[in-house]
Amino acid sequence: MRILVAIAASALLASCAGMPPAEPAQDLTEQVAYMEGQAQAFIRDVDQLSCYTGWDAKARLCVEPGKPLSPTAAVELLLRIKDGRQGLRAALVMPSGGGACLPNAPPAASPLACLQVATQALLEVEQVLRQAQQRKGN
Amino acid sequence: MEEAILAVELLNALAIFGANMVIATQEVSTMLKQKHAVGQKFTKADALAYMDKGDLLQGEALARAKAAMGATA
Repeated sequence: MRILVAIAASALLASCAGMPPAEPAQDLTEQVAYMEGQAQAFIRDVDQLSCYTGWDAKARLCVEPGKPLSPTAAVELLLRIKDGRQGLRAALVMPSGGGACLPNAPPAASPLACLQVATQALLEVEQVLRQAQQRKGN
Repeated sequence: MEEAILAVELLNALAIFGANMVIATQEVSTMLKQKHAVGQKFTKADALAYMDKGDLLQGEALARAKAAMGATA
């Protein structure tokens, strides 16, 4: 359900921005594609919010404005996105009886269950990014 | 109710992160529309190819971040 809400919310925002409504996903593969798109958006967000030069570790600030993420935080977030994306890939190729999903996590009972776990992992990254974005605005 | 609250939270997040998420959604939507228009679905092979593109993006971003981390260590 979270996946559908995420896609619907994104589609609503797109329509508010004057863009055409998003094409509904018809099956799990197409849901995975939408979540992969969100994951790629998160990678771009991390890249844009990261301080790659001039990070002052003591002050926890970047000399360049609008870059609230330290290089270490950026690496950690990108690795979490990598794990989430690995779960998306696993959901795509998983047999209906389930199998390995996220690294260092119990196997998922089904591809859909794996997609839900991967989505949850990616939404947790999104929350950290939201906080970073708010710091950027301060 | 929980779903409604979740939707509001997501919309708030999307309002902040708008650009990249909207672009990504539209990119996937366009790919799906092209398939559906000719009576096809987005296949696993299509999805894996799209993920390969994401792997490149992820690899480049991770390389930049790790290089910066090494520089500041």
